[in-house]
Amino acid sequence: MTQMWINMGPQHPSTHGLWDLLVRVDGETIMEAQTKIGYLHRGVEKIAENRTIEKFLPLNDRLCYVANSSWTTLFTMAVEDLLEVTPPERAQYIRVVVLELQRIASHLVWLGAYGADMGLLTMILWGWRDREIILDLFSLLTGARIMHNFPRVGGVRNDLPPTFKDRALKAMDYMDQRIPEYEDLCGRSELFAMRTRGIGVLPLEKAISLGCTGPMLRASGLEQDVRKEEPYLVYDRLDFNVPTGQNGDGWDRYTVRLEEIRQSASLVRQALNNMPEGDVMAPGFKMPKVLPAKTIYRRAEDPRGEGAIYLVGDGKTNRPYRLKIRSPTYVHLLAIPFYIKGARMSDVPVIMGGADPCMAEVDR
Amino acid sequence: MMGTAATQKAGEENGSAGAPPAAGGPGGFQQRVLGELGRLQGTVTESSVTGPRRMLAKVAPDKIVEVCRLLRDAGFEHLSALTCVDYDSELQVIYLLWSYKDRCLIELRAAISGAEPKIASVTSVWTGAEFHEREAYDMFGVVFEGCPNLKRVLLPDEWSVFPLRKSFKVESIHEKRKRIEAEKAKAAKAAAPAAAPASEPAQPPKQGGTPDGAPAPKGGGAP
Repeated sequence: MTQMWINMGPQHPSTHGLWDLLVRVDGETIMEAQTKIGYLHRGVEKIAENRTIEKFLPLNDRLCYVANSSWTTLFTMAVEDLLEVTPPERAQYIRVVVLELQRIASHLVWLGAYGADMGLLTMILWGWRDREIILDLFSLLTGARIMHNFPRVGGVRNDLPPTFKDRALKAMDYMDQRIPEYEDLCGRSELFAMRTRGIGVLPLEKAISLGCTGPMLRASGLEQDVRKEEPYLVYDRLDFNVPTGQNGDGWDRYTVRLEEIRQSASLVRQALNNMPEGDVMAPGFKMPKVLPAKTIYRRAEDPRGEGAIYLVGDGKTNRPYRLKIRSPTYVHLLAIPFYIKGARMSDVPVIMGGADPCMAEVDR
Repeated sequence: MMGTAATQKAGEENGSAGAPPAAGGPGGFQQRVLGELGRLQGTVTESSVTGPRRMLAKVAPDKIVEVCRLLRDAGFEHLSALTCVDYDSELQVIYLLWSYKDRCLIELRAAISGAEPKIASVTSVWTGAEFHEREAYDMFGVVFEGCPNLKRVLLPDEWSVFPLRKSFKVESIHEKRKRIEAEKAKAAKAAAPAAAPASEPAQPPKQGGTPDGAPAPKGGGAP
């Protein structure tokens, strides 16, 4: 049979963003693939070199439109490492609350889109409905649903509003009720299992060699989580499990992420209940006029995997000399051609969706 | 209930915070790696422990593949990132490796010439290095010899510049406005003496109606 190249993108319902997976097919079987990205490249790393830290801070929210505060928090942590500032404990707890709420919101978007990829359109409605509850909490806390601009170098912008704790705890109870419903809808659906089990298998050794991290790596069977292996903020005082899969297929990616929603809900609860009183900004902290001549590599567990920032100060200006953003999905998307061979055409959206693409972060 | 469990755990952690790492923990591992790197005279020019989970080594660029393979076999299985920093005198290629088992990060720096940036590819050690090397090529123009798919990844294929080089200047919006105003003023100045004699014949059609010289405005044609 003649072979041909098919563009799965850049405008295709299964791409969840602006990227392109070129696949060479022989009938229904994928023989070869190429990832094409860069449609959303804005040169964030170059912009950072020409801006002061404070001016660059809000741009971090734009690094990922699904998990905004994760990146801003990571950037503030990197700058805090550089300046040797420690935010007050209460601010660290608030950051954990924000990060975990963000993880729930991000995973709900993923779950909805993943369901929609295989024709389970109820899931996308439920996912986005329940994400709205998290966004309402963000709206209460930061005044914005998506672009929070909430973390600051040395703490967070404002303290929790008086009604926040009750509402957040109620929202987490609501989440706990909803998770079994997702399990009923997806996990107990024979069709969902048929579309995901054994699809897009990524063996552990290959996953490590390709540099996959986060849920992708955990689904392949390695219990790896930056929150556990290099605890930041107050994660070492909170109790949570790192779920793993065995086969590294589409099904394991689903179970791992679903369990992470449950763990995150528990983390939000713990952080809210254990939060001490106190300042939310490091007292007396002022941004220095000059960044120290130092190099920092700060890693954090983004909802999509290992996010990291390599920050170089030059000791002369208050702009970063070099800022490198390590995006987990950049690696995951470019890795797809290495394990997609032999899949069927109808499985391609499931494999693409399993990587949880967020193009703003990939292209930077 | 959850609260008490967490606080208990916090207490334990605080209690053991000052204790030295157990044998085989990050400290012991770091010493072992330092020992192995120290044996590579002339290849690793400098190596040190920079923090509880951080190490730094400067590597001769022509030996980078050997050092990377040795470190991967020593436990640094994960190539977290590969990037460049452009110092005007040289270009540093940075390798950030993480060990899942011993929970330690090592930063390798290989200094190469900015005028002729070339270094061997480490794709034979980590398949995923290809993605980072492509990005570094895209942004800095570093040629990774042996990289199987070394072409632009984020920028269009036909671009010839490497934008994260320090020689690639970006003007701010204020600088841009100033430049455009200056250009306009210059153009107006250059046009003014040239336009002065020509302005008299240009006058009648201007009075005729529309500024762009469109024929017969309807206000004049109707009566």
